Amino acid sequence: MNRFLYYLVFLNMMAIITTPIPSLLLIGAHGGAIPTMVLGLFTGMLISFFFLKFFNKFPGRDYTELLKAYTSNYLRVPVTIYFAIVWYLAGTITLVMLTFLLITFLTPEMSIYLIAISILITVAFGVLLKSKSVLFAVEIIVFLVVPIAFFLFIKLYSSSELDWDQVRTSLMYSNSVPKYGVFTATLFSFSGIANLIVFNRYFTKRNTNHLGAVLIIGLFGVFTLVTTYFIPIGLNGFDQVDRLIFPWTSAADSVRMKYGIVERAVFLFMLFFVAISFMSITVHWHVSYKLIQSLIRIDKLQMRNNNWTPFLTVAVFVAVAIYLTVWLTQYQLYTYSAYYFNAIPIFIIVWAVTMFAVKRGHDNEPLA
Amino acid sequence: MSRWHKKGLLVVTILLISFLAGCAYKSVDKRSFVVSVGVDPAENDDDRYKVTLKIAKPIASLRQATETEYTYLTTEAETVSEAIRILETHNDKVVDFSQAKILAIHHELLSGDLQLLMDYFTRRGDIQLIMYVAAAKPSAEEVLKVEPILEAAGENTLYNFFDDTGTESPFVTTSFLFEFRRDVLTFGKDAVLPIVRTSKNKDELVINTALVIKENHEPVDLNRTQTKLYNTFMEGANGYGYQAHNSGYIFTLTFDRAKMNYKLGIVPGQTPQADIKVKAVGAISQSNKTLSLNRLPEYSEVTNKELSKEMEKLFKKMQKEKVDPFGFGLRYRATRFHTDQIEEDWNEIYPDLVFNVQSDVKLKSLGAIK
Repeated sequence: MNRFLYYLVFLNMMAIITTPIPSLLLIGAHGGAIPTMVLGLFTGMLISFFFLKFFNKFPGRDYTELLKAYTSNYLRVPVTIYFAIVWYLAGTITLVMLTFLLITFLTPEMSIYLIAISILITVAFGVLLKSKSVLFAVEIIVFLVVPIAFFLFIKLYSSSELDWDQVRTSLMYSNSVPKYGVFTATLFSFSGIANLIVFNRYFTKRNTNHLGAVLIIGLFGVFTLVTTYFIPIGLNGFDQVDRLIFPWTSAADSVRMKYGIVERAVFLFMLFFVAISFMSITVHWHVSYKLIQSLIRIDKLQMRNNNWTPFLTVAVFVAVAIYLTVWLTQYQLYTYSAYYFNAIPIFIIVWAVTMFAVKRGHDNEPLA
Repeated sequence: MSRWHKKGLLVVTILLISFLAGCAYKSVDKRSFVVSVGVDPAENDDDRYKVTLKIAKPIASLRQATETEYTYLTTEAETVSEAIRILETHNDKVVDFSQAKILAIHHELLSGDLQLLMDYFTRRGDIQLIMYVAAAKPSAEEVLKVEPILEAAGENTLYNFFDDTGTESPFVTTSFLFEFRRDVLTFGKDAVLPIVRTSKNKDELVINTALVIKENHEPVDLNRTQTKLYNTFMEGANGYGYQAHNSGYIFTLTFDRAKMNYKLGIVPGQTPQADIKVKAVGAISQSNKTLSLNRLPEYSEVTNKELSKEMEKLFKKMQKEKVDPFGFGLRYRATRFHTDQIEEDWNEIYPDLVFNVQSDVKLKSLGAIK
């Protein structure tokens, strides 16, 4: 099952392009974004290493199970709720951003409700799948999307209008002080590995080559960060790059396929990123849903052999998401998601504390 | 899934179908596709801009149509967006900008405030950033209204000029909307727009000169030779049309490949230098004398002298006019760490910059005769 780990990490990194992260990175372009991204890259790799090492100790067991076995309810319940919210919001940010993208570039006349609902119907089905099926779906999407992504990236990098002097100018700002907002946004792009808290159930084999895995993850990270950061600068210019609200879509809109079936590469880009972000929302929400399932099971919703709690959970997910999509303005989306990313270190601390608790519990009574 | 789940799902699905009242997309016959947008200064004193939309008329089939049919909507308003709002009321169909590929701007508007003029086009997500931008003479409206005799049904002459699938002349500058925006907003590089002119009897379009645009600065004209050199060495254009008059020879050359590299040698206390290397590979396509194959290096040398002279003249003209279409300023910023006064430093350096042009043309062939 090892390859699925890379799919999860890769998916999350690709999906950052449809979150506010590119523009949060580019806001720091005139002050220390580059050193911060390097710092974030190493921190992200370090955290990935600890995640891998921890879960490798418990092959085939997910996090909720471990919490149940080795910690008290006073720790387990609040932590699970907190994690569920964190994962739910990660999916929701992508959803709102995707809706905004579609309404700005693809279907300006369509109602926002209709766009959100048409995304959510598919996502809701995905969330209710078995964890294993979600992993398979991720694999299919990665395999369908990688050729298009590869083609698009070659198009972008080989575009004759890409101005490398703009890119070099941006490098000349790397002597500035790192920025916290950029740092946390970079960390988030490495968070795909955290999905292990649910999917570790299917990673039953022990793997000892953590360093190799972390190195591959680091390479993915370098490639995504370089692409997300420098392509918009090279195509849309460095001096006012922080004024772009969708830097990546604008970059993709600046590339032309002279003899292509469609001339505007942005449509290919849309196809690609809609698929990626669908899958990313599904994975995030699925994790959140599984965490909630480990806490709540309402007996009143029992009908014959079936319990309808999962449907209720997903219905709540969908309702809250629609409300947020309609209510949020662009400004709020960017400000609140910046708050969300800035709170990621809290998540890492909480996770580290529970990790130590589980480890100590395990050392005291290894058979529980 | 149990039977209950399946039934529940079926009911939900049927309920959802009733919400599908219709397609969110308006169908093609309810849309009018704008192919070009033109902006002119208003004739009326109360207004600021005159906007012209060139709209393609739907035709049933290409075989029946003998010529292209366009219609034009024109109005004046205080801003571009307001004018387009007004034009939407002149038309029973949805004005659709997804096919708009030409933005023609009256040449006089390019010296004024570009922010207000360009904002609408870059802010709207459904207007493509790979739209072609051109300066229009005598006016955008007249340029858009030209329907050349050679234009076939379903064709747009201006597209063919710019998109490199029709004519590929080194005289035609291509500038995309995103490129124009980028270069106008960048300190150290200025945008270049092609000038589209109408011929005297208004049935032809002529594009062979260009305009250097800098914000809050008068646009600088490039003549035909300068436009050609700019296109060859900055945009990678090539083809026929290079002249060399030197040592009694008159050559017309074709370039297959051409490129330019430059290095800035800027040391405090010394005269700032720009070492420019111009490289080209080509053939002779016309000559006033009989030529011989073993003297190709000599012909290359003749061309080199001519080319270096022309390039240096062009750089010096740009320097004198205080514009920088070749991006020397951007290169300056790209080769040293950023400081707060880097832009002022460059403004002091640029007028003193000395250009050392070294050209390396390799002529490979004489064509079919000696």
